[in-house]
Amino acid sequence: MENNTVISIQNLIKRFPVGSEFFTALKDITLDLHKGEFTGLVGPSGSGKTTLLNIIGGLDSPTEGKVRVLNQPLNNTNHNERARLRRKYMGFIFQSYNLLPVYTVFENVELPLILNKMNKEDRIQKVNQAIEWVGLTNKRNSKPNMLSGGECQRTAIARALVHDPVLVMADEPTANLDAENSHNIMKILTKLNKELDTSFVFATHDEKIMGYLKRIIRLEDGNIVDDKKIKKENI
Amino acid sequence: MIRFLTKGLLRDRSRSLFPVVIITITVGIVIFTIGFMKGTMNSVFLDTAVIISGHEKVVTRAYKEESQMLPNDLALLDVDQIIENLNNEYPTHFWSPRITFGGLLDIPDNNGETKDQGPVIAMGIDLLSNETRMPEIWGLEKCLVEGRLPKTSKEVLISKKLANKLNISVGDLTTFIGTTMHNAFTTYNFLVAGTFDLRKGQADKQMMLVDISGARKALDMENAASEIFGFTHSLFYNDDKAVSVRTNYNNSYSDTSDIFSPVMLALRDSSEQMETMVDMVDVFLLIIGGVFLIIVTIVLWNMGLMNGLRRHGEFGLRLAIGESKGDVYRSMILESLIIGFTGTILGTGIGLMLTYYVQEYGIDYSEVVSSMSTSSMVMPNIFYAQITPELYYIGFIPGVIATVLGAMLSGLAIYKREMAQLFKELEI
Ligand SMILES: Nc1ncnc2c1ncn2[C@@H]1O[C@H](COP(=O)(O)OP(=O)(O)OP(=O)(O)O)[C@@H](O)[C@H]1O
Ligand SMILES: [Mg+2]
Repeated sequence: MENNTVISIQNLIKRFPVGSEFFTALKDITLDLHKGEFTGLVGPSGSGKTTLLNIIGGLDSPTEGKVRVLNQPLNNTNHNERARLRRKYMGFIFQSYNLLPVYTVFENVELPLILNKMNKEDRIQKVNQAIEWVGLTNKRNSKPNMLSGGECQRTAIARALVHDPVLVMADEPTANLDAENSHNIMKILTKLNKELDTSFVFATHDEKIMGYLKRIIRLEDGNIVDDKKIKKENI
Repeated sequence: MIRFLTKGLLRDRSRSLFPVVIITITVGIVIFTIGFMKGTMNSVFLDTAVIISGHEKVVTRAYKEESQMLPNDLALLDVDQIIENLNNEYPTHFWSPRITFGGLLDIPDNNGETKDQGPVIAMGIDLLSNETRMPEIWGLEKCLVEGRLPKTSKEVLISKKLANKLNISVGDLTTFIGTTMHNAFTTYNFLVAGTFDLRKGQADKQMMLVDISGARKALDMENAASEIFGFTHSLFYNDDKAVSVRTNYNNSYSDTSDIFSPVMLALRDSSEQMETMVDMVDVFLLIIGGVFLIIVTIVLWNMGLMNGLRRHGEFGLRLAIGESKGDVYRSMILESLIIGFTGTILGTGIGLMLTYYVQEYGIDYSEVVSSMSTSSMVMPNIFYAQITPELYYIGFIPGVIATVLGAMLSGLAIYKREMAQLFKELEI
């Protein structure tokens, strides 16, 4: 395994029990993701994008095969260790934002830092910085129900990035957004990818995202059917 | 993190205020209902006890056989000694003598001629001794219609019904005509100090109350009494204890071959109706109370469950961000504990206050009740609640235990399901 490998997957199989049968959502996936990559998992609905993303993030467990994330084999770590990995090194962005409605933008973004037991002054500084990245400084005390969809997703991005994760996973982050907001979001993410050297993995079938990706892994029916790197120097 | 969660809890009223209000209300209702049922049952018992039977009463064996005829020639003698023994051996009760006697009451006009005359049932009870609780348990202060309570052995209270019938007013001199305990004819003058209304149906239709010393003088019954009544200090009737006191007393003091030896009767022994009632009340209370408690428990359990389920999305998110399952689960249980305790304590407080209010002031059913009253069982016109010790903790069964168990159960999903699944539940 190369030193800058963030994720290493070998012969991953995922089966879901459906009634008395099993449904195989991922069939023999082998894959490496590297530091700083801006990768998209693309493919038709039901091809297994979300499932793969969840397994990488330790939100779901593999049926067979080896998954190493940040040099930790996920197969034989318990959920407390996986929680620690996520808390320290990962960030998540979801299609449906998943903001906590009773908290303000500031507080939602602050949560990962509280879990990491960062002291208050550092926290305030980091949160303010993250909110500034996504351009929500003037909304920091608003609750999610007062925000537009794009603002919600930007809050979620700030939350995913506030603790300087190594790896950010985003499942359909633009599916609920219009074209302008989608491009906005992708520009922010691209910029952060460059500045922070954070690795991003997207699951998407949104054509608007494709243009920003540096690596596209195409899934079909639980198999990788294509994996290509795209040279783009000046986005 | 606790600060963060507390902030969320306080802001989200559907998680804090509403559950607390619901728990408060249901626990309050449980407490009050149980207190009211217990109190109502007990006040039925107590009314019968005060007027007819005591929680226990001691009479002679012969008196017991003929008690409807008020046979004072069969009265207890050497009563002071008997009461002293009772007080020593059964200090759970207080004991008080009574003479129940019947006769005619004659109201003379200014010239000493009979103006009105009618039958009277008189009760000589301890109204005047220092430590007596009789005025209290009869509720004489509350029952007084006119005048005042007797201050001497010569003064009496006449029921309002009897006073109306015989045109008696406060301050009148009346003459009791009857027989002494030695079956001699007697007349005795009593001064009417006041009139009263027990508000217990027809129970006081012909009633006159006099201090026992007056009754003793009138009937020549020095240190004698028809009956000795015993009441628990709390005035709460506990049938098991009453029966054991009665059995114990009869074993040591009652001689079946001597018709003048004393015998003790518990409240349940006073009539067949009373016996059935005593037997049924416990079962009845247990069933009603049990069913009620189960329903409320299910409701609150369900609320705990729903509150947990509703938040699977939030838990999923917190887990995704890297909080451990144990921490999420514990915070959820802690939250339901806080909610459960707050609601239960408030509910118990409100329930006890309501119960206390109804214990002190009662709910008046005069109209309904007067038609149902019989001579062997006195029905109260006013139903009182009763604060019993279990009211202090019974609310915790639905309020805390059910709420927390509901939360625990719904929270198990955190362990059972893959986190990915928790999100799906949020989205659907
Ligand atoms: N918990 C589950 N139980 C059973 N089957 C599941 C479960 N989760 C996913 N699947 C199945 O696995 C397959 C892949 O699902 P997945 O969510 O990964 O698809 P996807 O590529 O993300 O699709 P979309 O683009 O619509 O989001 C689907 O056929 C789905 O029905
Ligand atoms: Mg998907």
